[in-house]
Amino acid sequence: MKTLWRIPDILDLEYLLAQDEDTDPAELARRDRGIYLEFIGPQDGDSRPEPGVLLHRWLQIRRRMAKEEGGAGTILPGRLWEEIYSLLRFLAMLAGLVAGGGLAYSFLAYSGTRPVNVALYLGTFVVTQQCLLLLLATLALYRLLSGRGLRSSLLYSLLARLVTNLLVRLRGGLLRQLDAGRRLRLLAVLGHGSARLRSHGSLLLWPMFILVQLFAASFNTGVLAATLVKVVTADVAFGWQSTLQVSAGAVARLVRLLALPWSWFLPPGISYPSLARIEGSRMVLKDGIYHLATTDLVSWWPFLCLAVLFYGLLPRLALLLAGHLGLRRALARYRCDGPACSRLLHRMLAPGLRTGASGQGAQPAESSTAPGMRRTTAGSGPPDAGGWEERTAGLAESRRSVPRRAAPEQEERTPGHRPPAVPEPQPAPPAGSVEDRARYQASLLALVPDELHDQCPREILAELLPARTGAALAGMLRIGAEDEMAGELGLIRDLFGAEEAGGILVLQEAWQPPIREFLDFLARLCDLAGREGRIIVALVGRPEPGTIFTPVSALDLRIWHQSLAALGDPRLEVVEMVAP
Amino acid sequence: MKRTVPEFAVIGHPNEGKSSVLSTLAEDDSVRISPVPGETTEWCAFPVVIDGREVIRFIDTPGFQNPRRVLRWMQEYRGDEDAMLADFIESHRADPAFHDDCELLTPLRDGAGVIFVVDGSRPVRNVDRAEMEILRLTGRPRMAIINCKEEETTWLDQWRSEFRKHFNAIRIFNSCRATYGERIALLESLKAIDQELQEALETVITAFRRDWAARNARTAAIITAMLADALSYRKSVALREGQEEEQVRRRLHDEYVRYVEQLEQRAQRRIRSLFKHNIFDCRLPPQSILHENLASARTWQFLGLSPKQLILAGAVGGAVIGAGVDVAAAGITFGVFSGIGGVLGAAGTALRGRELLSGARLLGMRLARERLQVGPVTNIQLLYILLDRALLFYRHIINWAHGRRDYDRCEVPLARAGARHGFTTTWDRAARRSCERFLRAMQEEETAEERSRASAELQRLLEEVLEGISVDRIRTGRE
Repeated sequence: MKTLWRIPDILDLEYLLAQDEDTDPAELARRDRGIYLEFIGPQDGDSRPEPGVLLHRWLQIRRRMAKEEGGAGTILPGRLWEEIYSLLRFLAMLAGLVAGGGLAYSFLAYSGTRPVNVALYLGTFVVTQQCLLLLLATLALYRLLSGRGLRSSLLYSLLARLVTNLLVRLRGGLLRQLDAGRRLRLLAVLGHGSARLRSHGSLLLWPMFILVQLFAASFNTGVLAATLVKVVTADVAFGWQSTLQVSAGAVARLVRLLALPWSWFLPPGISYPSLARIEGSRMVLKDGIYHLATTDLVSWWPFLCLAVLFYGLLPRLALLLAGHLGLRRALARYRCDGPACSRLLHRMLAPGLRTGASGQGAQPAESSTAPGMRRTTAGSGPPDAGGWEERTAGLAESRRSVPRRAAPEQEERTPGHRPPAVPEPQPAPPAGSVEDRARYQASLLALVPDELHDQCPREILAELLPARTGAALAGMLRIGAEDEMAGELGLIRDLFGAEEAGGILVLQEAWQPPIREFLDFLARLCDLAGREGRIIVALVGRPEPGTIFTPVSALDLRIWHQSLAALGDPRLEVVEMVAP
Repeated sequence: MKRTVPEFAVIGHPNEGKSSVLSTLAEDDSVRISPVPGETTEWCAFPVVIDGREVIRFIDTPGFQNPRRVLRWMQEYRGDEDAMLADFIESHRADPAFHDDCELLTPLRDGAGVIFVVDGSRPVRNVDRAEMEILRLTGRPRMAIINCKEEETTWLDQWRSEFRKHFNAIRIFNSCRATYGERIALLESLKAIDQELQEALETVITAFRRDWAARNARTAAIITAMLADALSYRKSVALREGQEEEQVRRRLHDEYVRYVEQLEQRAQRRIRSLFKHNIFDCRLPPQSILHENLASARTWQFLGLSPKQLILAGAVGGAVIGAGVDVAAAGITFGVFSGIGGVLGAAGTALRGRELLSGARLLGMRLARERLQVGPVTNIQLLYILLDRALLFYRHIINWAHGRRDYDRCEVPLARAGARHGFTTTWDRAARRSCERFLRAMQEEETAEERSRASAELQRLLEEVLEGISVDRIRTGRE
């Protein structure tokens, strides 16, 4: 199973998308559309690839662009992660080996007066590890049975509790002392973090799991190696003792039981010591060890090594494998479906419609070229780009004369259509598979507050919506006329189902501060729209005579962005209905 | 139980300027104000204390977070009406979602009146109607304030008509521009919302007025003392061999200007703290004439008396000037100048007004034997300029609302050539005569008794002027 995404890819994607948040939307639209038309679109002919594939290709181009812009020394977070992670893996192995080897080596120190206690060796190197494994298995079983997945992971729940406690404490004390701006910023950052954890928490946990298994496996290897080295190079005696009057027969039964995993294929003398040898290696301190036979005292070591191998090393190796498989499965399941990804897809797939004089000063083609890409197209793409990037060489130059295959998305000027003043992405006409359309252009159910409803004609909303959100208008509902917005949730649910809408858009005046009541309403809309549904808060500015569709002030926009980020739901988006 | 100290909670939607209104009303610039909503999260009382006695208490509250839910709860409430607020708080106290709503209703539960604040630069919305209805249901005496934050009046009528349905009194109040007079007017309107409050509020208003008059008297005393120090300055320096007289003159002149500037700054600091401005430092508008150095040409061009007025002043104060010239000539003239001082003075002052601070003329520097003696000041224009600067500063301070925090944004029209920016240019003859008497009293030969009489006279004059400026009755020459 080959996965498209790897952790460094995801980190880079998030990093680059986060960087884009601060960039001028018109500039972004131009750049991403340029990337699509120039490098991605020509690869696929008439069929449009999966959204994930599109994003992955975009990422490759953007990585190259980032390196071009930032110079050779540019290190993206993905690369940083790779380096740090391999260092951590090495350190975990080294630490495991040193810890296991050192512990076992010092444990097996024998000066000829007192044999190594078998029970202590087993207790330290086998029973303790078994307890830890048992704990892990119990939790995994519980998780499996309760079907709660990550949320019941011990680490996750401990972390979640820690963060929650911290938040509660912050809310109680520190948060009140912060001024409103800082408080909002902090809550937004926390919300952002929790959204990230919610959307791909297991992705971040698997690498940690793998590290822990690596450490444990190396630890066991160290123990085994040290024991073997000690056995080969030194004279080590093993014995057992007990204050309780335990018979040698009982010990022999226990030992045979422990040796079950390997006794079926190894001869009895090696897989476990015989009753006579066990009897012979019993230590009674008052008698000393001089009367004990050496053959009895050395008969224990194969059993001990096999115990460490079967109860320590092999389970850890199995878990290590499971960790890798788990990570792979998590990566295969990874879907880039956050608002930022949807916006990026929209920017790539929506044809850029441009205005302005077609004579002097007009630069219809250049403006859609990704900045910086003209320089890079002559070079070859990264080796894993699979050829489609290599074919981009020279395309920038010939683009103007060669008709592109992605004909439906091509830039066009519709005669007679009054174009908007700024470059606005227009809705992509239907192309590609039905699922694609459903994915990017799932129509939206618009909720319009009572006081704005009369000034918000359906035609205008239907016209604005595709440009701002990439989706069509499915239906319109007046809300807020009742005393409580939540009272209308039933109606919204019915209409949402009836219209088969892919998301909900709430029109909102940005100058109204985001109050708790409204934010709770949004949270309930998120529940209603399901895992895939988009929830968009579409902002308008202060009403002017004749229109409610006015630009939003920068401060108001920031406040709304931060307030929604604080909710920590990756499905929530904020858009401005009118370009600034 | 009747409350002895009237209490008003300032309530409203988030980010409507509640804290700003409160800061201005309570003259407290320590109230936290922010353009980001949700700055206030707990209710907090701001008592107004006059003479150690609390006369009124304003309470800052967070904004409504769940107006519709609170209203629905209240509409469905079937218990004892008097206990409604207490019941609401009791049942929602544990829910963090209702923290702010509980906080803002707590002072109302305890019997405070309501000052409902809205931002008049935006339209009325359903949440506002819900909030007004909640306040009506509380049954507390209430008044609405339209806080016109951005001087936008498009929605004022909409607000007014909405408010008439819910409130006993409505007032437009710009929390960033409100003057002393407007604050008093607001308190007067508060009287109308509840008969029971009338008496207590009457006391408050009287206390406010008295307090204001006392502050004006203090300010007048501070200004008079500063003027006395500045005008009676004298210094005598021995001219050593080889020392250029001109150089020494210049040095003495600069020293004097620095001295007067320090006096001015000290007086300004005292006036500022008298009017309870702690954060707002003397950050005067950059274009303000007060930013100019005392000796700058612009100061002398735009403040003080006009050339014509100076000629008249010269005719009165000519004797002083004549005597100065006489002494400066080391007695050679045998008092001739004193005799014709009136004439000379009248002719010379016009010129002097334009030549500004040219050392000798300002300070009456004179060379007596080997010593250069400086002061006392003989140029009456300096008195008027210092007065104008002090009065302009006073007006700036009292009109800077405590709720206003845009310290670096202050529109003061630029100086217009040909117009006097100060107050003294508008003064009548009697007032100017008081000034001349004060200047004369500061001369060496006058007795202490004469000085204190002249000081008291000027102080009385200033108190009247300050009162006039407070209520915007007295304006500058260019207004």
